[in-house]
Amino acid sequence: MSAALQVRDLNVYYGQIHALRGVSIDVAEGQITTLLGANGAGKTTLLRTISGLLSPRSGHIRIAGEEIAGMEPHLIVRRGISQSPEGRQVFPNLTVLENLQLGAYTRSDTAGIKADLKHVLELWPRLGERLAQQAGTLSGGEQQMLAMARAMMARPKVLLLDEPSLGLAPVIVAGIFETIRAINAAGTTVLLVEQNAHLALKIAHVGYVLETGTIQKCAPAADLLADPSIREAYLGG
Amino acid sequence: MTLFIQQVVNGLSLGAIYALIALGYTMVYGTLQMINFAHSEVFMMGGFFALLLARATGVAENPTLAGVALVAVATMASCALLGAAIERLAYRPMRKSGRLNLLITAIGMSLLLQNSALLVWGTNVPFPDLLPRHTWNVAGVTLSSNNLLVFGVTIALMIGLHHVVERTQMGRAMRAVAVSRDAAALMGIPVDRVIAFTFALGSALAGAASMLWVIDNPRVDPFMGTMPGLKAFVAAVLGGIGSIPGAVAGALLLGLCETMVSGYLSSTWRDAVAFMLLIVILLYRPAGLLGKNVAEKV
Repeated sequence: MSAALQVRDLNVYYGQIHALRGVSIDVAEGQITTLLGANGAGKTTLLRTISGLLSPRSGHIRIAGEEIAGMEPHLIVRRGISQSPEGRQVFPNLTVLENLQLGAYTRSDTAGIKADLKHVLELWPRLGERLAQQAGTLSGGEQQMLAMARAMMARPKVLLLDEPSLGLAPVIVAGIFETIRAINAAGTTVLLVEQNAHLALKIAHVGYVLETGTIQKCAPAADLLADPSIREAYLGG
Repeated sequence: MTLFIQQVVNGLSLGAIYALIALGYTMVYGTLQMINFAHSEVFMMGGFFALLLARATGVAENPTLAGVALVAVATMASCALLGAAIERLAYRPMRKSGRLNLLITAIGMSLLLQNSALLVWGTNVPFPDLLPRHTWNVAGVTLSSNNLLVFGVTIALMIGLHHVVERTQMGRAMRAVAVSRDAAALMGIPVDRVIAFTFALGSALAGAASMLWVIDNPRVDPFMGTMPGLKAFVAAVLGGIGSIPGAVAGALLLGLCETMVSGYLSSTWRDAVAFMLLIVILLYRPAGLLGKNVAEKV
């Protein structure tokens, strides 16, 4: 399986703080790869660096073989990586439709955008009912759906998801994970960062465990689910 | 009653020009949370650009309507370039170093432009009469062709601005960048370019304002931007800085206040009242008339 996204020996600093220490991961084409870890382990830092919001001090990030480390964020989106960020970050004073249109900012294929809009509204019919509504008036779950739909509007090769379950009711989370699986089954490669390790490992193919800025483990998701040390640390025993 | 209506006409005319300048303050504040104190100098430079362009094209000697329109458009374009250049050369390198530094840079830029203009062109330069003045007497109220010009141009520009901000992809990008630069970048929006565009757009409106201003007050001066710029800033705060409709509402209100004070009290009081209004707003409604503190849902 070839890597759609490859991270090698990545070192990222926040001022004096060494946040990522020589991180290497492979996100295999067509799979869901999940990144587990406690708060402050560096999961969000890694996603922000991949998206270009942070510049690494050293190391490589390659998408389909092309180096993107240190590239400007909008150029990285053009190369096929889009992100649904932590805390959703929808644009509250813009309508749902405008949020989705911005998701397709880098594209100019009007027909393709129209088709993808139709597609995401089939995935999340709730958004279709609220197209003209300001995104700030949506519930937390709906905002998460919008953040993911917006990221999908870029028609990414690799979709980065940062904590899609954060602060949401279990029944809504279940729906969201079902949709992630469906998006992946339709051909989009996914890198999923999640606190809810159990849910993440159930839909993922491969899992990485990140602790204080270093990769501690990498294994097929099923093996991690069965791993006693993982069960103890992340799955509540 | 006639005096009242007369002052309403004058107030709206003055307020319309303030509004064109105030939009630049409010749009830049909306995207960068900075007060661009050099904005009043973009307005001032617009006056000099108009003068130079009118001379260079011969419109100063033989003013035609088409010629004046051409000079106006070229003035707006020059101001847009100047605004974008100021952002690129002075503000962008300072953007990561804190808001106070940015503010001081803006004040420095303002002084630089004023004194450069003083050095190159001197003070109190007469501006040619470009348009014939007509006045009409409608039931005792004097209406001048300049009033109509100001109203017409301002309304047209507002409609254009509304279209750009609400209906185009660049406008959506501007609003997104105003909410969060990081989230906007994740959409693939080239944030730096959008910020430069915001400066250019606001500066073009200031250029239109200075064109209207010098047609009515035919002289240009390196310090001509100070008072209208300050008033427009007050108007933007009055309406709620960051809010586009707020800037327009604040500017019209301020223009009306000033002309009412001039008409009924004394014109020596008009500036004092404008700044008193600022103090009252800052004390009792710091978010402005149309500004609001948007709560975030987590």
